[in-house]
Amino acid sequence: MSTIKLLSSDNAELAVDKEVAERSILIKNMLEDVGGDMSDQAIPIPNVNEAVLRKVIEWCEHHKSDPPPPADEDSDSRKKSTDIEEWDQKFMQVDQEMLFEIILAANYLDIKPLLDVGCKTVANMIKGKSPEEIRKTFNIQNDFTPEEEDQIRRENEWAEE
Amino acid sequence: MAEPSQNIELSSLEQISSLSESGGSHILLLPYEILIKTLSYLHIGDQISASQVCKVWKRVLKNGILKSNRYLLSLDNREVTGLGIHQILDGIAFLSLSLQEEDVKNFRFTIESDEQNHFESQIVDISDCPFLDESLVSPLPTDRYSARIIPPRDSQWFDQIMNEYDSLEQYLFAYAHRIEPDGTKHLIAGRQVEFSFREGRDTNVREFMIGLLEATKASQEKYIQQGDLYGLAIRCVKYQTSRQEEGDEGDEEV
Repeated sequence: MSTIKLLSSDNAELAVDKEVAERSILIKNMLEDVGGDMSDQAIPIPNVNEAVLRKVIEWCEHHKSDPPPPADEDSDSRKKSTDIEEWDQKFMQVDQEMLFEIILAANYLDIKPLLDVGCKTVANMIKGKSPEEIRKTFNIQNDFTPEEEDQIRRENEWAEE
Repeated sequence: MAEPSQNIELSSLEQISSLSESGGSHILLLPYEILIKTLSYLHIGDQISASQVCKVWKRVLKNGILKSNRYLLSLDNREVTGLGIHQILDGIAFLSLSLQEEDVKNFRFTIESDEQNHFESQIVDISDCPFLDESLVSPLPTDRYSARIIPPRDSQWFDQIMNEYDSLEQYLFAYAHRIEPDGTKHLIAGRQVEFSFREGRDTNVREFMIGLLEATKASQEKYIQQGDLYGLAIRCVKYQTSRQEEGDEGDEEV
C-alpha cells in the first residue's frame, strides 16, 4: 500500500496510507490532479496543526473502509438524527478547542462524515439547555441589551415551561 | 444545499474570526454555514433556546434559515420542504386526522398552493414524519394563537353552519389562552370545543392533535361519528401584536 506524507501548518511531516488520506476529498482530488507519485513530497495542509491533523488521521484510519456517504443529500435530511456511533462519541471526547478545530479541519479537508459527527456532537451539547446554560457551556457572551432581553422574554413567554 | 436566500442573509452577518473578537469562545469562530448545519440538527424547542443565546445566533435562527431542510416529503414529482410547526403557525398549513371507527388512522398534512389564482391543495400522509414529535412551540414573535376546526365537507352540520354564518372562518375560530401558572392552557374551538393542553416542550404536535380530537368527540358527536376520512383539521392562525383585518373578526368570538 502506498504511503503519502502530509505537512501540517506547524511543519510536522506525517506519513499516512494513501487510502486513509483519501477520506479527505480535498486530498483525494489533489492526488488525482497531480496524477502520480507523491511519495517523496509532502502535501502541505496549511490550515491544520499537527495535533489536530493526527486526530483527523486517527478518525480516517478507523473509518477507512466505510462505504462512501450517500451522494443524495435529501436522504439524510429526511431523518435528522443526532445519533453518533460509540467509537465516534469516544473520539469526540476532547476539549472544546480541539473539537472545533476538528470540525474546521473536516470542513477544510472536505471529510463530510467527520464534519457531520462534529456538528452532531455540538448539537448534543446544546440539546435541552437553557440559553444561559448554552452560553456557559460555550463561553458565549450575552450581547443583548436589557431592553432586547425583555423583548425576547416576551416573544418567547408562551414557549417557556 | 445552500439556497440563495441563505447567502443573502448570511452575507449581512460579519464573521467573527479571532478568539479575541469572540471573547474566547470557540464555537463563535465556526463559519456560519457550519453553525447552521449544527443548529439544524436541533428540534425546534432547542432552536428557540439557541436563538436567545446571542445576537448572531438569534439572527441565524430567526431569519428562518433553518425552516428548510428539516423535513422532506416527496409528493409526486416535487419535493415539499420545510414542513414544520413553523408553517402551521404561520397559518399556511393544515393538519388533519383521518379516522377509522373513531380511531386515528393517519395524520395528514394539506399543502396549499395558489398559483396565478388557481387554488390547489394536496393531502399528504405524514404519520411517520418526525414533525409530529416536535414540540408545540413557536419560534416566532406572536401574541396569540388560534385554531379552527373544519368539519367534513359533506356533513349536514357543515351546511347548517354555512347557512347560519356568513363565513366558516368566523364561526370556527378557536383560541389558545394562557390560564394557570402551571402552564396549563385552554383552547376553545368554535365556541363548542374546549380542551386543555400544555403548550411548550412537553406537548408535541401528535398529542395536541389527539387532544383536540378527543375534545371534539366529546362536544361534537355529530360530525365525528361520520368519522370516515376527513375527520378533523386544525389550522393555527398567527396574530401579531398589532392585529390587522384578520384578527378583528376573531375578537368577537371571545
